[in-house]
Formats: sequence, structure tokens, C-alpha cells
Amino acid sequence: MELTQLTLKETQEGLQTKQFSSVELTQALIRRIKKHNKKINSFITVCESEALEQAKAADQRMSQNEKEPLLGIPIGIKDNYITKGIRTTAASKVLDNYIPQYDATAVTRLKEAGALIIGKCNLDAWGHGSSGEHSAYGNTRNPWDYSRVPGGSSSGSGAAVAADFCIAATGTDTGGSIRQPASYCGVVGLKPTYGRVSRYGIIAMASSTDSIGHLTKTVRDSAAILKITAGKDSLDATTHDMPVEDYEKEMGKPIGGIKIGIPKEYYGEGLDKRIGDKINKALKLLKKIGCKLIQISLPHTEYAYPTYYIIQTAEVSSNLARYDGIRFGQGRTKFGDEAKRRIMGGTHALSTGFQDKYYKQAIRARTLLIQDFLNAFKKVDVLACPVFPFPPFKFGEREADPLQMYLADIFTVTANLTGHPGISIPVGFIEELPVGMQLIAPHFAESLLFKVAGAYEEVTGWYKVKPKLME
Amino acid sequence: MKKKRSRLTSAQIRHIANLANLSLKDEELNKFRKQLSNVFDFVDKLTEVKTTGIAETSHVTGLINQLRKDKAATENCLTQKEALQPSLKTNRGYFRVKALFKEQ
Repeated sequence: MELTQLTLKETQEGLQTKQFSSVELTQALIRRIKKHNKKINSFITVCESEALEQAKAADQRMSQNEKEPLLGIPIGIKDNYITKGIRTTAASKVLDNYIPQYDATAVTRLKEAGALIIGKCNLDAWGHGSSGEHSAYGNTRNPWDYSRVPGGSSSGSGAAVAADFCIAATGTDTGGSIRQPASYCGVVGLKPTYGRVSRYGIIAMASSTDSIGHLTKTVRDSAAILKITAGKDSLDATTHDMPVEDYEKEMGKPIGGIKIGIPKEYYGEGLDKRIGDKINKALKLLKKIGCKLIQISLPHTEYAYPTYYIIQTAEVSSNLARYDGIRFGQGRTKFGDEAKRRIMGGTHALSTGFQDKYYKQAIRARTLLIQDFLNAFKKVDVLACPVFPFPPFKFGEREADPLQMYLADIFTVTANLTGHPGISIPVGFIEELPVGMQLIAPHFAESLLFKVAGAYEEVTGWYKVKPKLME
Repeated sequence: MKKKRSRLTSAQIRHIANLANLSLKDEELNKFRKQLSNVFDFVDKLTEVKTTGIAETSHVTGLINQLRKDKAATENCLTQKEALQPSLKTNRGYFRVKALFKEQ
């Protein structure tokens, strides 16, 4: 097994038992990046010299028996997390020259746990996208098929983890942007509960739905990282003081009796039958290992996307108002088309004469969507849903009509509006392209997600299948 | 009955661009007018939902009044030099902005 193929847990063990050093690991990853990243374009910035320096320092600290959980482990950071002294662009030309003066809280916590930053991952600019086709720094390609999209907006993060360019990568999920690339790249993507992880220092998209999470090779790796990034932050008033659990604790315990809700509205005409079949197979397996499958209804599902579009673009129009080229950045003429579209959509929804029809209506419809979920969680423990309505598509296929692209989000946006945590896990392949399924749990019940997802992963081992990167 | 289409006019798009502090060329205004009209046509579906008497949601996890002590958080402040560093528009320790008033 190549060093680069190791999971986070395997890497932790290997480093602690001195089977290899952080420098060896980092060098192996950098070699792999140099060989394949030109085609895949996972990174906007690669931090080769900084990472090697930090790896040396980590090895030194390990020799002195220091044992931080992520000591010496190279992580990719989505380029909408600000990183002190490391260029941060949000994949937009507006921030082409921006070098932040401080770290995001999530970055501080990862660094304090000993992690090193191997690079800044590509994304759909500002988080605006679900395919990876909207970066000002070029498309990211799906490592499983270079002619297809990796999903977005955490496109570079998903591709980097799938291609073994880093041990894990951070992401953000405002409408599906962690779960979607996880699904298309065949990795695990966690969207924590809103307010579980601090948004301080994350370039804001929609402040009431932005969720700060990560993409990993396995479910256990995901739990290990959440332990580090989660928790109240005095710098983000929307973080919750719910205690941070040992998220790995429940994993491996029997899942008998856990009720999985299957919302009928998510499995209708709009879903590619092949994806429905893969998910059904996964659910049958979960039933075999003890879960109960229960049909439920989320009656306001058809209004989820319009509600999300209004709220998200309204908040985007407000958050992107700060990019005026005065204190940082290049000015508003450098915005790409998608950013301009969303700013204008949101501005319209908030403007005099339209605010009642759109924004006020949306924030009340949001309450109805939340009630749907709360009612469902009275009957079941978790929900199981598709992530994308169709398998990974080819570049340009959905680009021409923005609305077609937006409708790729219909299964993921509701959990952002309601704040619930969700995890996307691989459930197989359709014509050699990965398919993901998402589990959604009540607020702050990430342990339950890891428990169920982990049990499925243990029995299936999909994470052992790797893409064969084209030369 | 055929649904009334949500056509945005050129004047409306110009107004929106103005509110959003975006200077757009004519071709852009026309392109966005068509695309946004299309999107809002779909989004208009939202008006079907009965929301009378339903409370507005602005925060999903129930937090209320997150306060801190009213003292300067100096451990979290940038120095003047740090604050000015990413800007392309500075002048002797200040950010340079567009004039609000014209000289008489």
C-alpha cells in the first residue's frame, strides 16, 4: 500500500509507531500532486516548501513524544477558508492577490492539533456551484473520469481526497457543497449541524446556512476531524455550546433497532433510476444488519429549492457587498457571471416591491420545511436520501441553463435550511462512476450519522476502491 | 390557465444592478435579464405555499442573545499595518475611498 493511499487513522498509527515520518509522507503526497494535479486541478495554491518545513517540525515534536491527534498529517484546505500568510482567493479573480492576516478558527484548531496545510483546494468561486465548473482558476476534473465534473462547490477538496493528494480536506456546505463532491468523487463528506463548527474566517456565502465540514476517505476519519473542529467559538456568535462528543465512541456498536426514514418525495420521477437502485441496495443491507426502514413524507419538499434560492441569494447579495476593492481585493468588475447572477437574484428578492413576495415568503416557508423534518424525526432516527438526481455529468452538459444547474441541488438544500447534519457516503458505482447516499440526523446528532454510516462502510469497504489516475 | 411568466424588464435589471453596485455592459444586462427571468419563473412556485400565521425563521438552532463583555477584544485585533496590508488603495495610513462630495 502506498503511503498516499492511507486513511487518516492508518496515517496516525503509522506516524506514531514510526513506520514512516511526516516528511516521507508529505514528500510522497507532493510527488503525487506534481505527477497528476496538472490534469485534475485540485489546488489553486500548493504549499510545497511550507508543508515540508512543517513536516520536519512535526517529526521533531513526535521524537519528543508529543501526541497531538493530527500531528504531521497533511490536509487540504478549501480556498474559502482564510489562512494567514497563504493566498486565499475563494476561486475568484476579485481576491486574486489577497493574503490574509489571520487564520479561520477551523484552521487554527486543525493547526493546534498538529495538522499541516499541503495546499488550498479549488472550488466553485464563492461557493456558487455544484459542479466544479465555476472557478476562475480552471475546472477541477473528476479523478474517476477526467471528462466529468467532480461535483461542487468543494470540488478541489473532493477530487484531492479521491486522488490521494492529501489525507483529508476541508469544505463548506451551504446547499450541498460538501455532500455533492463527496458523492461524485466516491469519498465521505460531512455537513455538520449549523453552528457546530465556527464560521469565523470562512468567506461567507449564506450566513444562515453555511456549514463548515470536511471530506475524508472513511467515516471514522470524518469523526476524528469533527472532534477537532467542533465547538463553541467566541468569535462566531452562531456557534452552539452543545458539548463536543467523542464522535468515534458510538462507532462499531450494533445498530439494531435504528429507524431509517425514507422520504417518498425524494424517490420520484426526478431521480435517475440507477441511483435509486443503488440506494435501495444500500438500505437493504442496512436492514440486514439491524435497521428498520420506514416510509415517511416530507410534504413541503417541492418548495425547498425556491425557498433556498431566495434565502441563499439574498444573503449572498449582502455578504458579497463587502468586496468593493477598498480594504482588500480587486473590485466588483472582477466578479464572474455566476456571482453577478446570484448577487442580482438576491438583490431583487430583497428590493422594495418584491421583498414580501419573495424574501418574507421564503423565511416563513423555511419554518414549514423545518417542521417537516422535526415531524419526521419524531418517527425515525435518521433519513436516507439521494445526493444528486443523476450520476456525474460531462463538463458543459448543464452549464448553458443556470436553472438546470441549480436543480442539481434539490436533494441537498433542505438540510441547509433546517440546519440538520448530513453525511454523504459511497454506495457503489454506475458505469464506474461513484454514487453517494446521504444520511441526515437531528441537530447535533452527528454521532448517530457516524454510527450508521460507519456500520455500512465496515460491511462494504467501498473506500478501498481507488480511481486509476490517467497518465 | 397558462401561468403568468415572470419577465424582468430592462429597467428592472438596470435598477437591480444599480442597487447591487455592479456596473454591467448592455450585453450582460440582456443576458442576465433572460437568465434571471427564467429562474424567477421557477421560483414563483413559492407563492403557492400558504404561510399566513407561520413564524419567520432567521436562526435554526434556537440561540438567543449571544453576548460578551463590553470590552475591547484586543487579542483579536489587527494592527493598523496588518489591516492596511491587503489593500491596493492606501494613502499614508488610511484607506483611500471615492469622494462623497464634490469641490465647489
